Amino acid sequence: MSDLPSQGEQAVLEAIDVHRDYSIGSSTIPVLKGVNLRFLPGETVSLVGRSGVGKTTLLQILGLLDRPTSGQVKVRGRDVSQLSRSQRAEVRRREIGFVFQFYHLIPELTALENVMLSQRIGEPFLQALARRRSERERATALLERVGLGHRIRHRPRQMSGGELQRTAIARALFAKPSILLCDEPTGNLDADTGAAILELLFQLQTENRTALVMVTHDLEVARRCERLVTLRDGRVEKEELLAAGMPPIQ
Amino acid sequence: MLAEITQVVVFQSLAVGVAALLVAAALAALLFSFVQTFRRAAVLPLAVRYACSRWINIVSVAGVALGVAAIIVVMSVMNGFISTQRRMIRGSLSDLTIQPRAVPDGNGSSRMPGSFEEYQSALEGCPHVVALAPRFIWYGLLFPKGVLDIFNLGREGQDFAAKIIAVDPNAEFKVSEFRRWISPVGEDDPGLRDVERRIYTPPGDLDRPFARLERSGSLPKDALLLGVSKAYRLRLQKADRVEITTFGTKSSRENPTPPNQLFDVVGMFHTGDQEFDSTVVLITIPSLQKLLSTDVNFTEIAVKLDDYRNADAAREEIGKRLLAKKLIKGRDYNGLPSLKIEIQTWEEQKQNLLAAVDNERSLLGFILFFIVIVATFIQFATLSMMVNEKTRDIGILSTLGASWGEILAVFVDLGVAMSLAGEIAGVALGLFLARESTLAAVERFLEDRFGLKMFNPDVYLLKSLPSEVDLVQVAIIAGATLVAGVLFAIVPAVRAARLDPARALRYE
Repeated sequence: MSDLPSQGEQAVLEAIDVHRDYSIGSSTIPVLKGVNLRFLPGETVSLVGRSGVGKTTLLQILGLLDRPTSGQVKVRGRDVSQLSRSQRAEVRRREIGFVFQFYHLIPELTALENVMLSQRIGEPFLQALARRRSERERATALLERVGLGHRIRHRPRQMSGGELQRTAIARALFAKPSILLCDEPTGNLDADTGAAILELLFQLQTENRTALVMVTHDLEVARRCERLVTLRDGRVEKEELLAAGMPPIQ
Repeated sequence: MLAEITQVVVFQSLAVGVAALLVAAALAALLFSFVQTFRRAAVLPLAVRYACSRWINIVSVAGVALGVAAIIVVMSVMNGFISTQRRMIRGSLSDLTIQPRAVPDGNGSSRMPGSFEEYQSALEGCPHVVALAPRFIWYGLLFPKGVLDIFNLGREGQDFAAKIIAVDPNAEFKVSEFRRWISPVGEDDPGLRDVERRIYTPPGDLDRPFARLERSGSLPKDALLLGVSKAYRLRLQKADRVEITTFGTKSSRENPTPPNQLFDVVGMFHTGDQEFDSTVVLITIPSLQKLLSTDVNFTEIAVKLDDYRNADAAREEIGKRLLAKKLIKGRDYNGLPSLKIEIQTWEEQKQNLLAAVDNERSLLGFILFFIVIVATFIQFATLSMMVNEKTRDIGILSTLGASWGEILAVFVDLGVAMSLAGEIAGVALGLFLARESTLAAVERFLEDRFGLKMFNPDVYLLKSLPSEVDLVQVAIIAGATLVAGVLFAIVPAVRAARLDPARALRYE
């Protein structure tokens, strides 16, 4: 493990002996059984493993959407696993962005509004009103950057899968998070669109120096990351460092 | 009895307590969501978008609007009815009536405690009292001269029976609406059937309503004004001659012949009070004194006040002055000190009828508010459905860092927006429909198109459906609807706010 992230460097996100059990009736099913992981700023990490191994559960715990049954989750060295719901929401708003397989855009809002939503949440009304023009320009620029300059006023139902995922990526990065958590970001797209999305994701992640944690089934996609973490039976089975990652999929 | 009163008091306190609690909860939720809306820029745009996104929301808003409009229309019509009914019920009554109890005269009969003039001087300069008028009330039988059919008494006796009110017309003008009763009947005057409107004939000179009629052939008799309903029932007209037979002020042993006298009908009157108009005949006090051979000149005094709201203060002052001169007894039937037997407001004299009318309005308002409750239930169902539908969105908002307060505020705002939209539309529609001209148009339309008669003028003795919009009432209806809307929004909003984001995102 000497070639893995050094203990001395400040991790942006850390899981320490994370357990997660689910109760079904009177029986308890352990899903995560002591996961230890560290993520450094700007690093790209993929989480792989069979279905049901706890990848999504781990991602939700890392994203503060769920609490570990025991163990700690640290964001920039601060234990956040025991914070209140509102405090965790605040940390999420400041530090974490999400990209999902099914895009999860708000259907009633346009692409531009969906992107700006991540900034508006938690922002005082008057401040948002005062910064509306500059924020709109920034969101428009970001949408143009992801190739959707012509779609900013479109609603999700008027857009293709690839366009939806580009919007979702723009939304996730608009609030400048230090951690980007992606759950099968290309799982619902055809190969070409998926490749393009992945390319975009890595470009933006590099530009923003955001730590990227990606859950995927696709090993080829996983190997694009710098580090590959394999989960098995609720534990980290192995961690591999992939130098600069595999070349882009053509 | 005490147990019953305690039960009522406990029930009322409980109801007030629960209502206060609900209002407080609604206000707290409103305040919370208001603060959240200002603290968090995402709340309002999302609530507005959600509100506009589904047609079922419009149905829910329309439900609230129709409920609110229905209450406003019905309450306004009830208000209209009540104020015309109050006019009809009030009839001849002045603000206050002093009815001193007669005292024994030492000769086996009784007398009034003093003359009208003594009362007048006792009440000289009395605060709130504007005018006094003597009334001398007696009972008798009135027969149309020449058509007397004594054997019909069994069937039509009540029409022959008459309450004789002797007045001083000049004083009466100042204390009651006497001039209106004897004026030509107007379109808006309530309390008359169409046939009565047709036969109504006012006296020739409104300033001298009891002026004798000039007749050819016979000497004019004392003047008598007949209630329009009584005139109709007895088929009497102006200038007809009638005979009044009554009992004397002394015992029949002393005065074996019942007093009787002929009168000329010089005109009719219409107070709006059917009972009054069908039983009363008006003559002058000297006429009644002559009929009864008495020098008594009043049995009650009608009092006009500067403002009816001062009735209680005026009663106290009048009572004090009259008691000081021993002109009233100032005791109730149990001998306890009270002024309410001898000095009564017009509302006290008609309290049973008024209480019934007011009770009808409260009951109707209470029942109708259930329409709004049903409408807000629709809103509740709509919001609950929306929370189910938006579970995934709620998860997304959580991933973006929305706090539970923000999510709660989105759905409370949504409920408030829908409730407010329904209310604004409902109030506008209600105010439009509650106008008398709109009601008349609707009534005409229903009658012409479908033959539906919404309103029978002969039953209610009104020409058209009355309506009186009370803006305070409208504000209360709007406020109560908003409270109900907010309360029903809280439950789905709390459910949304409490959704576990991890579970919400699994909902695909």
